[in-house]
Amino acid sequence: MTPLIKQYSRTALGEMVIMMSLDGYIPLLQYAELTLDRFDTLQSFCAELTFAVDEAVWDEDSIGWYRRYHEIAGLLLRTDMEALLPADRRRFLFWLENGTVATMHSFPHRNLWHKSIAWVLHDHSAVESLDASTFPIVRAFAESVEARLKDSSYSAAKEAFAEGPDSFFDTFQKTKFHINVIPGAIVSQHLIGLNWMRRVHILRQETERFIAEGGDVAILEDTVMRYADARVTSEWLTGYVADRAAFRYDRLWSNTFREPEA
Amino acid sequence: MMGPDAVQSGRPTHIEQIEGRQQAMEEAMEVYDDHCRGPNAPEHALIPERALRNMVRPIPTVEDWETEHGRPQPEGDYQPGNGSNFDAADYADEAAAGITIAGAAYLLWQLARVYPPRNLIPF
Repeated sequence: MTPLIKQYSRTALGEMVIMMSLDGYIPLLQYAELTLDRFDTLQSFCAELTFAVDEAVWDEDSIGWYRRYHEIAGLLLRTDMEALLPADRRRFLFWLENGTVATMHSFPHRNLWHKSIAWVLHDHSAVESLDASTFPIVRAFAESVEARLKDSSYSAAKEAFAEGPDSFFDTFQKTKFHINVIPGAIVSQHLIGLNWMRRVHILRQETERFIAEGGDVAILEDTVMRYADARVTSEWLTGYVADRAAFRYDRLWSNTFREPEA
Repeated sequence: MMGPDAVQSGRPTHIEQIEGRQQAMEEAMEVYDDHCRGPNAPEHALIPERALRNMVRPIPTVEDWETEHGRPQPEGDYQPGNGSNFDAADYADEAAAGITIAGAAYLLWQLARVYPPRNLIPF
């Protein structure tokens, strides 16, 4: 598996594999900008990975749930995904390589890029930190990203998934791996990974569109750096803020598995 | 007595739980950014600084422990049935000492009742 995919948190990666094995979850993937010819193949591939681990158990003498998510991630990292169609395998790897999860330390600069959008839109300190000449450009970009993120059909699809009813297989998997998606919950733990994959893929696509329309990506890079300087103060993130080269658009994304232009 | 999975499940389970909470906090921050910032945001309490710190705190590794303590992390500190480092022998000693002190106090109290004898003072 590629070095970028190895950067994922094992727990988060394993959780995504389990979720992608569920019947009800597969329709959500299109909202996270994953497009495949055969989603059923991906689903069965992920289900096979989950079958390979022992059943999770609750033992009153033990110290808690042992869900083995990291073991499933380990299996994914060791496989070559031959079960997928070659084109789908390429798309899936591209999706994974250019994603992120909520934990900051997996892909910090992608997360910072995403967080700068909310800063530009909702934090008055952004107006003071950014140049008056570039602020309208950055603001328009942020609004375009936010407009796509606030697609109500995604929320409706997640709610439909939460409400069920579950298939027999989904019930089995949810019981085995202790998955509980509660209808109406503002933060649903098992959907967080997908939410973040969706956020950064939309961010990447909107950035590509911005550049294709003649926008200067250096303005966006500068905005993210100013956001990090202004708002990111944690002692555990200072190394990321200091690594200025990693903020660059060219370093942010991977084109290794990008589909060739038609 | 802990189950057979207890030792091997300790570290991954804790990583899973800590990361899960960090992810949930990051996600909650997204909700916060959407609804609680800007001129029309409702009044609310600030997010505690400690919560924000823990949201991005890296999970300590074995290497972190070894750097902090200057020695290899010993194996076998955590054993089945000994999860809280509870030492029954130490506890027995402490309990015995407590009982001895309580017994001696009781004896002194009883002696104080009977000595001096009530009829020693002639009125």
